[in-house]
Amino acid sequence: MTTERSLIPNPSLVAILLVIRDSAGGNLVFHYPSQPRTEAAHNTTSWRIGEATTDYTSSNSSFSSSSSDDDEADDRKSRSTVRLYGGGIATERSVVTSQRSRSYDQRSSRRRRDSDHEYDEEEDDEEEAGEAAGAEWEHVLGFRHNVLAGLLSVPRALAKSRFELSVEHSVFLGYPCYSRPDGTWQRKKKERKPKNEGPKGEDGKDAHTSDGDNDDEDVKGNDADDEDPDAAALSRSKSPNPPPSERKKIKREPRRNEPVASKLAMFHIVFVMNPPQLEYHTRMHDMYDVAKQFTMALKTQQSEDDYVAREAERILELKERGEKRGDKIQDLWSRIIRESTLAAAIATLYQSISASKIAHLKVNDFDFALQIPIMMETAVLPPISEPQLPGMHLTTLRTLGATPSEDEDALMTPHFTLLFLEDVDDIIKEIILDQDQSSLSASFVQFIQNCRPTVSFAQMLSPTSDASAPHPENPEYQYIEYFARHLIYWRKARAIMPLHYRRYYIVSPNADMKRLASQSIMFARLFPALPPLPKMLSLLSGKPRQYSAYIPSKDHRQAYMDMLAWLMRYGWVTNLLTFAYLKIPKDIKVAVREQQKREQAEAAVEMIQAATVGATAVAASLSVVNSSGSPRMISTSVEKSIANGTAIPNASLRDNIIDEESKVRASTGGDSTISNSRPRTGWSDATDSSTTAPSRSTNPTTNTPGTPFEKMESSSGQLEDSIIYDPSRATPLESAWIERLTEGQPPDIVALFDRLVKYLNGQHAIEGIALREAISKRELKRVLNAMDRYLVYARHW
Amino acid sequence: MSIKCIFYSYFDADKGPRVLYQVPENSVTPPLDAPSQPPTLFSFDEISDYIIPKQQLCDRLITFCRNRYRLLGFPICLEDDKYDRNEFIFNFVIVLDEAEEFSSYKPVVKKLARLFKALEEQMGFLWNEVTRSSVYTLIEQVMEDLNSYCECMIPINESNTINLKLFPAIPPPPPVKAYHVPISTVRFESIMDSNWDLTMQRIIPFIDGVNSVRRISELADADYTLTKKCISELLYYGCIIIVDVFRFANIYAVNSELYNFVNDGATATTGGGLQEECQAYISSTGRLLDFPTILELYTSLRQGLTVGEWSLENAERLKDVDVRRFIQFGIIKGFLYRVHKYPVRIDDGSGIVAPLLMGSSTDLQGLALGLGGDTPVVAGSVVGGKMGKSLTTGSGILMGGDRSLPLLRYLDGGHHFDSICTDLQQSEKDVLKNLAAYPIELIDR
Repeated sequence: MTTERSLIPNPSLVAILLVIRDSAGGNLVFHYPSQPRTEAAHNTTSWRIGEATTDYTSSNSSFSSSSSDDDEADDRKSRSTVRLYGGGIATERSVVTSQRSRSYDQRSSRRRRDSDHEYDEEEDDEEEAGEAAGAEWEHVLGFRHNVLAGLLSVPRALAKSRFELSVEHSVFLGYPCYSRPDGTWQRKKKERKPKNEGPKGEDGKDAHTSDGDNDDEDVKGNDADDEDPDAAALSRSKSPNPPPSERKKIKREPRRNEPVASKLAMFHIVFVMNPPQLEYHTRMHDMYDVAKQFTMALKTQQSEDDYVAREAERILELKERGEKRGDKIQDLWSRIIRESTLAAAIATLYQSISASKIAHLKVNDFDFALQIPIMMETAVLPPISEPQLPGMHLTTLRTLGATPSEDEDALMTPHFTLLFLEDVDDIIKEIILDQDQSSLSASFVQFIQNCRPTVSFAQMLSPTSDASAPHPENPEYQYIEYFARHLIYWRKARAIMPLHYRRYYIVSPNADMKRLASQSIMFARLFPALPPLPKMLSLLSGKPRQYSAYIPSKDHRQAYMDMLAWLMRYGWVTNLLTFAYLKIPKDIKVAVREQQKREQAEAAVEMIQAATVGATAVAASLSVVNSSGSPRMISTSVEKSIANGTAIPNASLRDNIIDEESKVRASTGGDSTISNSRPRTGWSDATDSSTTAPSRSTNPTTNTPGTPFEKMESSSGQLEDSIIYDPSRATPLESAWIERLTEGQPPDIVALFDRLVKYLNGQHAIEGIALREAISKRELKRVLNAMDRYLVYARHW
Repeated sequence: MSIKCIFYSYFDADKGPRVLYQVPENSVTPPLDAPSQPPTLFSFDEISDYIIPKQQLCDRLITFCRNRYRLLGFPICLEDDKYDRNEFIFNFVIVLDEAEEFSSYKPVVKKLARLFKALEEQMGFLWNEVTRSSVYTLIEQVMEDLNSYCECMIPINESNTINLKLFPAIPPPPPVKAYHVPISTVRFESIMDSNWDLTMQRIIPFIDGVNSVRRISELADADYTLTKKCISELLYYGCIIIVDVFRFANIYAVNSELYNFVNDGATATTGGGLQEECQAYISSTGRLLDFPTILELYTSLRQGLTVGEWSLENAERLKDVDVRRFIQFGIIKGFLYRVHKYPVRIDDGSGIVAPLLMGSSTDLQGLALGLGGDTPVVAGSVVGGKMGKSLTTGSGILMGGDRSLPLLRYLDGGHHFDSICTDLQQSEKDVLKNLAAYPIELIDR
């Protein structure tokens, strides 16, 4: 259940703090938002994707437009909760006073921001006087500044590893970074490695900031928190292959040559969170990736030119000035964000990540983007009692993901295509803005321009033959897949089965009806010549029909396909696919049984003939079989197993288990409070037999009283129609049945059916089989029609 | 799920933070005779700041992760003249695997801390060297019992006992809606007693898999809000499952979970039996359908086909089947989904969804006040006719003035007929009739 929940983005981010430590001790330099909410959200669980977060298509908003609103909102909320801890102002103040009288170490750790502290004193006095005007300066998340700074400026022993501390409901997560023991931040140049020399090496480092830390960590040893460097590189770079930005490098080149000891001993970007308890681990895990990547980017900049130290100093200066002037905290904060790029990056990061968007960041002229990846499609429609995911695309197709995974069907991936979730022109513009015109980005742009939701990757490569898939090793195809994954990771696109007017599309049961009103306006603007959105959805509501049935004429086709792409993009419709199960009718089973019996008998005869007179007993019994050929001769257990379609030992074992279970249940039945008349809930409950519906043996008495049951798999060995669960892993008996199905069919059908039978397990969309097996659709249709009597079709997404 | 270590640490005036007792030994501090040997879990000295924190962080639950272990502690600070430096800070810390679900341990840590705080305040239990020596055995016992039985009861003296129990965290129940239909999974009559909540006792007889929450509150003559709360509670403990209102005009279709239903028999390890369960559950006469027929029946349910039409099409095969139970089984097991019908009021000219303008209310008012002709429609607190009677019995259905436009507020596409009909207490037919004068589109989803 917890995994289901994590489908809903819920960053649970409360604030981001910047803590540093220098010669004078720890200091909380900056935090965003200025007044974080501190309410305990530990019990709230996400039930529905919020409006903001369902908007997969929009990237981060410019914070300048929204920050003031946010601040005000935060302000209002935090005013009531700022003294959450300690249960009221009195306690808080007593803590403050006792702390002051006791003169903790922090006092001695006062440093260049002495004036700052003098001001603190004043503030404290004011607070004593009753008005907590100083609280907004002095307290963050209900802690005093210096307490937080003390907590979060961690000892060196804890550096370079995951830092996770929780105090009541606030969780502090980070990846503290210390300077080298000699006080410098620069990596030692690896002279021995030629590739790291010159501007070239630095570019590589700039692009993959994680590299920068690896040597350090190698020295330190086993930090298991290290990510896969590839994954880190992918997620950190905004363009598929960030081309070297040489110009910047060369400018900065001289500065790196003489390593200088920095005043900064440690910096620590702390993400304050309040994840719901049941989602704790997934939420923390997701955020840690972001935290570490952000920290690594800053570390690189710090080692370049003391960036973090400079920015921290600037922020402290601004704060000092602002506090002296008595500025309002909101004014001061917006000034800090305007003047410090690090503060601006933290603010952007907070706003984007807490809205589940992609954060586009710029620190010290280094561009990068961070996000918590979100789910864009799901195979399972959430039931009424699970968190809802309105607007999320529904499909069981295991399409392309952001990173290659075992789930994907390598044979199918060339037959998918991309559905862009943003305007293609905007995507291209962004790419061109982002990077220099290298050849790679040119082909990237070209790929985006050529990509159509109606044309699969395979068709893109070879427009003439539509059935043959490119070889997976084909370099051209590998580029396509690489680009596609990149676009998917950055939420620009989603992989789909190409749209086609012969396919079936239904209104998605997961469509977000709450957005109908607003989207109908957008729709009317985009497709003024087409029926309005409600009308279109209403048309698609009835009995599923081929999409072509809605297209008035051939001239309208392109417009209708564009509209379909739009409907898919926003999750209004989903592709209705067909799945087939293989049914074995009774007559086939009877025929197979007869045949097997005959064969057995023949074998027995042969054996008798071959055997000497010695084995009289065996011979006697077998000769009976031989002479009479009666079905009675097969033992009941074998018959049962035939009825079950499972191997003999399995069947009998299972029956034993069930019998024992029912015995146990019968003996404890007296105190069982669980009704047997209801079906079990959910698949997972199956193991918990004590609370679940009855096993077969108890059915007759409890389920429908008064009606004696005739068992389907009756012990009399009566054969029934059945479904083969997994034809690719059929038991010998099942194989015999399957073989029997094609009796009397022309040989080409038999051969094709043998190839296709493994797909008839309800998990493979018929629509994809022809492509996967590289056979023509007509052939496929012919086989399926020939075998129609044995197929049960189910249609869903 | 188990505790790796419990240790007792305190602030020593001379030596700083110290670990006095730890179970098992050498988990967090090296053995005395071999100080160079690293402790087995992690080194206490590196993280002592977070175990014995500054005074202002005491009396709070503090957790910390180190070396893939999660430490849960609740530092206590006592002030008294008898202590060196006039204060005594101690912490009983439970160590778990970092990946462990730890929410059930949080109250345990808190309780343990408060118990020892009380003991210390009463009799100086931890300060006194004699009584303190029993701490090791106590935490050893706590760890053993919690790991083996998830609970423990250890008497310390005549007035103090360590009573701890780990309660699993259950996700909160989904929000209950008026149109939800609860089905019980337990036999209420055998578990309910007179101590149960009164509303609960009242509504439970009406939980039959047919009545909606709204209807239950009416039938039981119970307050609707309370009824909802009770249903929510039952849902939380898994005593009921929620389904939709069954009608023959409903549309259902299979979804991607169907595979699990079909495949259930194949994996004997999970128990199987689902198909047999289905055969028994849906049978109205006792005669059982074979599974392929059941599967064919389920897969023949589709978008655009009402259950009524479907029943006619399959009348022959359904003669031994209780159709309601047939549908319900699919819904409960999750492989069938309800296709809801959403009325959407559209703007005549543009065809876009008409905004819910509460201001320009003339036509809206007209609609609300019963264009349905004979059928009186309720507007606000105006209650009349035969509809009114049923309304007054169901207490507080139209809550005050904010429902002055009962029908129109539902027509933005966000509400399906189940929701509208239960809210307005009208049949779908009546609602449609009232809407006849307005351009609407019906969307099935």
